[in-house]
Amino acid sequence: MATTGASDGASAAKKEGLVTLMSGDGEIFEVEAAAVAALSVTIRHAIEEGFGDRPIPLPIVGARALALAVEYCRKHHSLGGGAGEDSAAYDDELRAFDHNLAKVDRDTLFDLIEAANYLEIEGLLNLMCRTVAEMMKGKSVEELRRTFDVSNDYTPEEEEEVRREVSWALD
Amino acid sequence: MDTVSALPDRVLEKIVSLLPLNDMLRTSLLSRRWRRVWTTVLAFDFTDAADDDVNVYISRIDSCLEHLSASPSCVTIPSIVFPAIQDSDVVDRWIRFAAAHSVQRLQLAMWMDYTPPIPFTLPLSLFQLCRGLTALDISSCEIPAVLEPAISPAFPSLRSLSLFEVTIANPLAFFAQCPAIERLTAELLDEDDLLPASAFRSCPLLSTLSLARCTVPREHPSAGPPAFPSLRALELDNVSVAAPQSLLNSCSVIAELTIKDPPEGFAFRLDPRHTVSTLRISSPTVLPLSLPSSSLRTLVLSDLEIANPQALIRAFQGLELLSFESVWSETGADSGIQVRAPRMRHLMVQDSEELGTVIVADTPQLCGLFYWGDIRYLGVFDHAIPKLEEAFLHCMVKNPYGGKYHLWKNLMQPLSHVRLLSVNWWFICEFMQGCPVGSERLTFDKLEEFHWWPVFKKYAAAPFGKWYTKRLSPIIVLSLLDFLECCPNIQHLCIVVCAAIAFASCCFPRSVS
Repeated sequence: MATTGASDGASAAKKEGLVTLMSGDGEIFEVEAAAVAALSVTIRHAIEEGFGDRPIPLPIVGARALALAVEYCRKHHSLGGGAGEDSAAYDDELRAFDHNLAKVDRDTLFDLIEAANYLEIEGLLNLMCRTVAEMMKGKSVEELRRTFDVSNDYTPEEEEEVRREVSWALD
Repeated sequence: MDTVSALPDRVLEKIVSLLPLNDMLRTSLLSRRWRRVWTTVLAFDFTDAADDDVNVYISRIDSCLEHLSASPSCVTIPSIVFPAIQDSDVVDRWIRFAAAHSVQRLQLAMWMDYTPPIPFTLPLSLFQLCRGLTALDISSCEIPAVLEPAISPAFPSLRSLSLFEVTIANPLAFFAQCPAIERLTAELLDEDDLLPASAFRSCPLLSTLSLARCTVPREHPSAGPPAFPSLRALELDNVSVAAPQSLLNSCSVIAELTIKDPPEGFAFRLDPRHTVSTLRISSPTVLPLSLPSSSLRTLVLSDLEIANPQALIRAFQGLELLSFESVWSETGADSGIQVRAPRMRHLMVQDSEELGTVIVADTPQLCGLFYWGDIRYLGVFDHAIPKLEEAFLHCMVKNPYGGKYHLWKNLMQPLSHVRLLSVNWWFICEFMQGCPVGSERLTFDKLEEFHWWPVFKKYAAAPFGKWYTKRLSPIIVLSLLDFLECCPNIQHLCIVVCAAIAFASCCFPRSVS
């Protein structure tokens, strides 16, 4: 898990090479700037814009998702040098880490996707999208609606029309 | 809104793009939010819509295209795969759709259900409308002689081209349309189909060329000599080349050469002028080999007779990897090969007893040795392999040394410093039969990982399930433990119960063993 800084983190003394992140629910994280900047485009830009010595506010990212996202950046930065899955550096340890990360509960999964999308951590976003896609594969429409609590807002006539369009894919 | 539907468009598109076509279409029924998500996807593989009835197959794809065309959120589709339906009108319609959506990577994929292949004519719309292509992969069609591109060349940005079971009516005219290709894979429909080397003169950036099932004819001198100024890798699989030497001489920077199943009489010489560093030859015929000893780093020979093993050895001086698989020599058992190679790091020998004994005589850099065959045809000189890390010694004979421990020890002594040893039945069997007790035992003091396959046939699989359970008697298990006592630093023991089917590995921490 990520190290959570002191609760009065904003006033904490700045250490070299660290950057402070503030989650949407106000939690403060002090993390290695190099690791998060290498993987998160959003944070890289924030640091470049001079946010380096102030906490970077991440309004839509919850503390739990942020902790996981930071852990992802750390792990991938130290083990893979930030390399993607196609690279030779993507070794067994990283694979196992990703595999475990993908096993989070449903709510955390979607929080992580939002966080990865907002922070622009492409590898994490791909990993989580693939996890959702795997959950969707081979399911009927009713099963999909149940699995993801999607409420059907089609009128019966509209639904019939769409059903006709994609009829072959429904068997 | 539920959590998944609340995700941004970009994320939903990403998720849906990872689904096969039918799952993708099904999402449009979830709710209004999902109605058009699938139409924003940037890559489609329409071969997912396959059906035994070709008309059903076509109508499914047509219906998808209709919805995509009607959707305002579908603007460009950079990557599209269509099946190579044998109907020019249908394919023409699909190509026009792809062109209207700025396709960059287009594939007409081999369609498994049709036999025999009667190529349909590739529609000219491809040459008139798809100037943005960077990768093109087409199967089972005939490329017509007259191409009538709107602007020539038809594919100014094409980098990668793949042709499978294709006939090309006019290769010169066709390759003139793709002057920027770097990678070309071509397997023609018939091995007598001609592909003149001069056709590639319009493709000076070509760096990887794989040709299969075709004939490179002798050309009139007026065609000029072939020229491959950027070619680094050339593979010829079942290709007749009328003048192989002239072809090879025209590849001034070639590094990798692979030749598979050449026709009778295919001959070439590599001399120091050639820059080949990797040579792979797989052929049922004799090859009169003459190798350049200076540039060659990797040599892989399979299914072939070596006319003169002694001449081959001269090529070993620069080699880093040497692999023999099913290689033999007329002179046979009385000759054999002594491997003396100052730079060699990997040596692999499979099913090559008819080459005679392979003796590892002096390979100071060797780190991996792989032997699969009759172990009596392998010999290792003392101090020949000081840096060996990993040894794979799999014998196809159950009891090669008949329990004579000194023969087992002769082979193993020079190898006793390896870190990883993988062996099959013979190893423990011979150890059990002849091993003395006490100080005469060979110790493997650097061995950390031991893999044991309790079978002795190469492709032993399911039927041997019974066989080995019978053989893994308490005596054998005790012998295995006895052997492990000779390995004070062993950390991993892996017992492979079934070749290629299933692995049961048990990893012992050091304390257990």
